[in-house]
Amino acid sequence: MTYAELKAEADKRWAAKQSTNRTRIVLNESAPDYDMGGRRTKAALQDEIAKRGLDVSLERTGNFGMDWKCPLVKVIRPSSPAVWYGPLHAADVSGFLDEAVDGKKVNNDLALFVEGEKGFEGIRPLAELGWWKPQHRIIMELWGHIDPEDIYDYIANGGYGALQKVMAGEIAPDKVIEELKTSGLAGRGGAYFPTGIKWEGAMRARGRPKFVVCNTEEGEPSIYKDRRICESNPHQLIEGMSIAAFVIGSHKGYNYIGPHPLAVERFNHALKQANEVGVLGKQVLGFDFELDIETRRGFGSYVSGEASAMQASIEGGRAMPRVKLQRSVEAGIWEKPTCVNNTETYSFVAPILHNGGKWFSEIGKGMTGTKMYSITGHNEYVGLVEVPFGIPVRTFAEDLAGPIRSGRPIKSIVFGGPTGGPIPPQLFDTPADPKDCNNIGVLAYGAGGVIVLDDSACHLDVIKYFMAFMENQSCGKCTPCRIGCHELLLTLDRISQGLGVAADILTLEDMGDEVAKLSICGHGQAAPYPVFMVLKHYRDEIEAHIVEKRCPAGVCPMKPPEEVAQSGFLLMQPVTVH
Amino acid sequence: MSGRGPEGSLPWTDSYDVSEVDAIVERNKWRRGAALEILEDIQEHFGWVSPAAVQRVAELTDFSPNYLYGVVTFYDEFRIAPPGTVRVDVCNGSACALNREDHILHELERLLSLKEITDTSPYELFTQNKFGYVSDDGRVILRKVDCVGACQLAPLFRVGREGDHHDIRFIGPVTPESTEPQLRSAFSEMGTSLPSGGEGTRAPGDQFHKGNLG
Repeated sequence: MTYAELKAEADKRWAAKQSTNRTRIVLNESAPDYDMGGRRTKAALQDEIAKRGLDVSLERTGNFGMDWKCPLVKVIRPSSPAVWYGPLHAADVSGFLDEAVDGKKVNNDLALFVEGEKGFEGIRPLAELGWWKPQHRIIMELWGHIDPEDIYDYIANGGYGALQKVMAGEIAPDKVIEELKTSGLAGRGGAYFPTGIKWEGAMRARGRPKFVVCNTEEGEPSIYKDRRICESNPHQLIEGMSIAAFVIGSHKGYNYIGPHPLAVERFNHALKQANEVGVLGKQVLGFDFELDIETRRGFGSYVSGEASAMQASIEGGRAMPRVKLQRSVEAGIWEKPTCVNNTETYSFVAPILHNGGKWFSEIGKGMTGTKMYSITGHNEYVGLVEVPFGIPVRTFAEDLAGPIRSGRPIKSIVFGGPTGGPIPPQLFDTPADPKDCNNIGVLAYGAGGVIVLDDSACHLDVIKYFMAFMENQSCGKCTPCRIGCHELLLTLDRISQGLGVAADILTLEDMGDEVAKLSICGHGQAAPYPVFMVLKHYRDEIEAHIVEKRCPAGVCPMKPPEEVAQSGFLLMQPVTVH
Repeated sequence: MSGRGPEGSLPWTDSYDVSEVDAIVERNKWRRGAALEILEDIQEHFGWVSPAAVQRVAELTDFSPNYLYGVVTFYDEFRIAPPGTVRVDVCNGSACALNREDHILHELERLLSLKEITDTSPYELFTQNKFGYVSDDGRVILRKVDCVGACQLAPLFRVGREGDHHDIRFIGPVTPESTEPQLRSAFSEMGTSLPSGGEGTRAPGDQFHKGNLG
């Protein structure tokens, strides 16, 4: 089908959906909702609606970012604003329907907020929530509003319009790259390489065939933004990949998704739909251009998120990084030109082409645009946010992360997941931006993991946990990473048992430096960064473990002094991460 | 190499019908990067990758068994021993680790009649339970897994049937005191009971884990 036909069909369906006189109950159906019992809630709702013979429509949408209130439900009554409720468990369904639908009342204990600017019957509007105010949603704009399993919902909201413009020649490939360069869009996987330059390299590369690859592998603890994109708006990603394929002249795309069943399921479903309506396939949108996109499943390995390791995995082998003599735009999978980008990066392409690169470049300070962060830790508001670059770290502590569950004060905020570093409260005015964070010692800003720590955490314990993860997930190909991470872990463990000596700090610094400089891929290069950051800002805490033989936070299993005398034996003790 | 546990008495099927592997190979063998695709399909279809299946794939394709085992043991989601019927996974993500998930692990070990498993060598911190610990009746496998992405519940564990992505119960936030009632209610909702007696064994397969130095 051509785009005009699709758009007409989509508009018709969307208008029918909106203009209904029935009450609409829109369930959030993404992994956190299912984790919290969303499937049982849905079944209970269906049963109860059938039993009472209610005239309501039960719809589906993706994630909204409020993971701590899942399962979320949105109720739209005719001629009143949409009200969100959560958490709605199966047991609460009966009472919920009594009030929310039968009783036509809104003041429900579960009511969270009202969409829009104004309050409604005593419920606060979304615009007044501290969690919402700093946010600027570009990727997440349609999340919570469209059905991720219905391509027409996306098309009715402007989806695939950018692809049509590119295919029809309204925006020539050169112009696409120019817009991307103007926008300043940089790779969101953690390296922040300018996307426009990468695509230009891939376009100019002479090898054939070319490949477009999307990296949706997230193996590290506490980062879950990419899989949510596949769950909540997979078509935006497909549109970005299709544009990339047309621009560089590729006919084959791969999306490498980690072991996240729902993300794989939703993305495959989206691909099937796109093929059915002719967005993908032999003739993309009716133009003479063939494109096939395929899902590749990662089977659980952190290092396969590294670009060259992912390529090895797509080729069907062990996900081991390669020494890059040529950039992957010259020689990627099967030594062919490959355009590898992160899920988030691809998803930005369509909005940028819609609104122009200049619009994007005016958002954010420092680096341009917005960034998705997954926030977790000791805080209350665990979930996903999308905020412009350059807002102070303090905003995360005060608004986005919410109160600390235990009521204790914040000790630090870790940016960048297991390769980031804890930022102390006195530096909370630093803008959250890769460059500024590099200046204070967070060398790998990473893919947007934020972990909030209260003062019950011990930084030595935290970096030991990170190092244990990096040691375990090291593929073992190059020696500095394989042996270095292991020795760093043993050293940290020795200190945490009260067996540390003054020279251990030097060991950490020197060996960390070697590991960072000599490893062949980003895994080893970034593994010691948290150690450097802690030694920079929390040296007293480490020294207290070594000199005073005590753990200030009372977490580490410090051995009593009489056992320390037998340190020769204890060195052989296994490491335990609580 | 046997699919059986150390006692040789566990109620697992030792192998499965390898002829079904032929269809999987046939479906995938012309794809680019076929090795991983074939093995992933085998894993999803049977729940584990048996030695006979690897042998069969090697016969039908150009890949050596050596290469195929290299792939299987690299990724954490592959199992090279039969799964139990019920899986109990303790999340080891950062939010759970910060909230002291180890206490819950100890409590679960007690409730599932397993002996203490947290004393490990440094090589196995994270995937020490890649294959997990299995109760004496062979039904329940307890594992410590990487972040499951449900940090709002931390610290948490999840209970589900092996191979079923849909009916999984995420249970959290748990405290050591609340572990027992929450585990019991999850098991009774699933229509099964806690294993009783015995001390459990390490699920077979660990010896083939990639182990960096060991």
